[in-house]
Amino acid sequence: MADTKVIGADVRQKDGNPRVTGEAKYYGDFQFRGMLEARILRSPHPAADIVDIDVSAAEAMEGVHLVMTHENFPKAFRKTVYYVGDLVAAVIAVDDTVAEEAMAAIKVEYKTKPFVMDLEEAIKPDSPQVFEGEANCHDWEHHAFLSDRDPETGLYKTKTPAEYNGFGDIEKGFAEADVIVEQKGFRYALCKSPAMEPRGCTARYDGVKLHVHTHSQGLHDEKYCLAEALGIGSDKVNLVSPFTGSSFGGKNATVLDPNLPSHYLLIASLACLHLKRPVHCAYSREEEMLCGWSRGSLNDVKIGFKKDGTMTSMDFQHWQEVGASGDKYPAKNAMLATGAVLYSRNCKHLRGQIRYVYTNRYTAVGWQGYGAPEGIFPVEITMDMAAEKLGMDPIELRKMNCMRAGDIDAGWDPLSYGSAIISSSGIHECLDVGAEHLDWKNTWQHPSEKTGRIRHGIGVAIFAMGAGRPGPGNSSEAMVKIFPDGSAALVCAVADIGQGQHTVQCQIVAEVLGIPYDRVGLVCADTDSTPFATLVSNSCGTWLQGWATYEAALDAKNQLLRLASEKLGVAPQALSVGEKGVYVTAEPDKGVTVKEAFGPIGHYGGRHEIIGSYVNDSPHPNCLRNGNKDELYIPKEKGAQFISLDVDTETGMVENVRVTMVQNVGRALHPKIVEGQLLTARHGVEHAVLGCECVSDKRNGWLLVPNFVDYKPCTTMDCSVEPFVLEIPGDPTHPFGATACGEGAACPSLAAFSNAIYNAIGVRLTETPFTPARILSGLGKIKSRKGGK
Amino acid sequence: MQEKDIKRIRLNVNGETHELTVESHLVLSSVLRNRLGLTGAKEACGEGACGACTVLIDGVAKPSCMVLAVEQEGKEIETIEGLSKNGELHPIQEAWLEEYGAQCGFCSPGMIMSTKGLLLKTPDPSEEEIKEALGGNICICSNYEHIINAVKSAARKMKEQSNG
Ligand code: FES
Ligand code: FES
Repeated sequence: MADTKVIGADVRQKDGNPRVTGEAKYYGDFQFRGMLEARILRSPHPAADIVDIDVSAAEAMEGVHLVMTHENFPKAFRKTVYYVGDLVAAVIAVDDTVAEEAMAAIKVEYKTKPFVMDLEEAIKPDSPQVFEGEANCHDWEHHAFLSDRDPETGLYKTKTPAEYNGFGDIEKGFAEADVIVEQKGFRYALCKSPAMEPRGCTARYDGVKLHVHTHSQGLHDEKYCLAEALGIGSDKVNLVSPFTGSSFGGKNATVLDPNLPSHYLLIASLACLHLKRPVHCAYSREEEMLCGWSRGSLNDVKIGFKKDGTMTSMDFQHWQEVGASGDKYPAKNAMLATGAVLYSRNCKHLRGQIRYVYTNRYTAVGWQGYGAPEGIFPVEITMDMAAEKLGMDPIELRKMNCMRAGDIDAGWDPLSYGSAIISSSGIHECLDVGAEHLDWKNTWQHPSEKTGRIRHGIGVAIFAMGAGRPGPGNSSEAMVKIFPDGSAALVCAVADIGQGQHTVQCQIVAEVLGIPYDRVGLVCADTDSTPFATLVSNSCGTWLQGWATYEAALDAKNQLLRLASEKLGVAPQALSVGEKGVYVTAEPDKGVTVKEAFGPIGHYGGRHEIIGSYVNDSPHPNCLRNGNKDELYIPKEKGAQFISLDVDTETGMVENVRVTMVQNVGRALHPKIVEGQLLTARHGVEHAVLGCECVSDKRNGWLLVPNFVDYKPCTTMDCSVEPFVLEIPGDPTHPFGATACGEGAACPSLAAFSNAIYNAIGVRLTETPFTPARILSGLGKIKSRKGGK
Repeated sequence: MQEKDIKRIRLNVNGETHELTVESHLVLSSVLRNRLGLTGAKEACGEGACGACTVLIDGVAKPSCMVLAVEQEGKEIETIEGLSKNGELHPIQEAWLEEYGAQCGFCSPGMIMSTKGLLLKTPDPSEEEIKEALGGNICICSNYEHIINAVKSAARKMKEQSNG
């Protein structure tokens, strides 16, 4: 790796100061003269038709400016409700108190309908239909797999999707197996990514344009969707989002589907345009908990192995709960993250049937890992079961089968490109580092050898997931300006949702231009002033936006070199940029300042600024193997997670949880930021043993955990995480060798937990969360109720 | 509509006195944010469960969403805005930046005020004491290791400052 000055250094967070002084403005901190408050009336029924809605009393109240229902605003409200918390009406009033009083005065007559609250129930053919005339369970229609794989090169010869959901011939693969492991009924509970900042926005109109202040993962995407939903030109909408209070994928509001929890944008915008007054629409914590759940899924897995541990075949059946129509992509991702990517090296025969399932529960959204944890959970537990059956060390079995750099990604959805080559792996190294840290060889004991009330266990799981791809819908753009005093500014819209993207992008600019990091300013606040940026999902910001930023900076630098070359009479190729200006590379004393290169400014000629730019909308040449468009390098997030814990066999409590999170990031552009990303492995504790689960009352659909007390995220007291960042050079897909780092930490946790609990007490838990009741019933100490709870 | 119960109060915030007429049911966080424009303290739960709105009241860290504004007469309230003086960051804020304690930053004002509350009482806290003092402040970015390091480093910095 070439020497770098800024890349790899723990520079100060670009927008760190305002974050620690309280000056950072999140959408809820903006106040505008004459601002009104919007409050949403939500359904108390999981399924009902609105027969009558009488808003006259509410409308007549002093301080109420507007009451919105399906009658006057059919774009935002429907006549049918599909879950508890679904939209019924909105009140726009002078303040919260008035709005709430007015809401209480709205009379709604409902005709309730049968509903279904459970994934397994919803799959049954005779269960109530969430959407009338439409089945609850749907096959994923987008074929994710290619057919016609060349056995020699591994590449796919045609771009036609496979005829069935998979590749090879699973029956042939199972026939070749010496050992087959099968487990049905893995259940990943519905749970929540509870961002600290609840959803919301403030819309204001300036007489020409609608400005919407909100949080965001992808401002430009949201702008286009909002403009379309409102039926106005994109030029009439400006989205503003200087700071976002964590997100993890759940605040991705690009799809203004009436079923997705981004209604606040539509309600505030419509009301604002109607009233010509600023409108603030913020969800309370309870409302926030009522929308945007994820992870609920059901799985059956069957894997065949040769005696030596080589995988021969995999059958993966997956049902993903999407609630009353939510984001369906996690279903697909669940599949791709598992056999298709993680074990694509040896798994030549694979069937992956994926379905999404409607229930009358809150809508599903994307969330850290975007489906991958749901897939990795059952597969990585099955791998553990297989290791035991084969008499192999679980680490060795994984090493034998998991992907390596250069493997073909069997789960690649080709779009306009051909086969995808895994650009780097490092899973083997990650396993070694974690094993050494925990002294795996000496500590690992078969559960049958353990005695005593408190039993210690260790477990492991690996992960890999896609991290963005170039091409349609995933492009990114950047502009880099150089000013006469030698400072620079990056103009881009990449969202910083706590993952440090602003800092990293500015590091890239400083590095390319050869100037100090604190001389790079950032313009990132709204869609009016910035070029398009990719949605930061899929952990692709550093990679996709990184290329755009890098190339834009290079473009600006080359323009500066050309200006200096005229002044110095030396070819641009012989020049370099440094802190003091542009100098002759071979004679560092000979040079000009940036100001001199610009020449006289203003009326006397010369320039005021240089603008470099780049649009990253097709695979960068570095991402092509042998320059071939059909052989695309694709970066992955990948690594291993180890869990060490104690189980109290009397109480069923899991204690002393330690998470060892190891990830190969290629190059850590900012080690502290990367470490911060790995620390989110702690989320696994919430969903494994703290009992965080979307529990709702089956009788009436009410959410029983609508707050931070009943749904308690991890605190400082709950566990410790030890992050190990591996930098294995050689990934060609990023200008500085970085790969992705973000969502991976969440992917393997639940499997690693289950494996560690098994290792401690010999009980195989396949339903989350791993509550004391489930553990005790596994130990035979209490009788299990339905579902093992 | 019910008659509003409105009171006149004097609030002492960050050393400044504010004369206000507020509705009696309003919590301190709401008055700080909406009336005084001090939006540093965040509201993430509004029910005392997350610590985002933490301020110091007579030197003790408290969730400002859980106390009524009208009951704060005569007390000294300090918010995150009162921490840095003349553009100079407080040592706790410095430590936060060094240790990368703020990711999205939404929990940071509350965390920083809880830290100040702890260090006023216990200038040299053990790791356990830090975890306990910050146990009511949720960080979804799950940045606790960095945060705990920041508290330790802040304690050192403040000690140096008071010695020097
Ligand atoms: S907002 Fe006050 S404790 Fe959560
Ligand atoms: S830094 Fe994001 S919630 Fe703590």
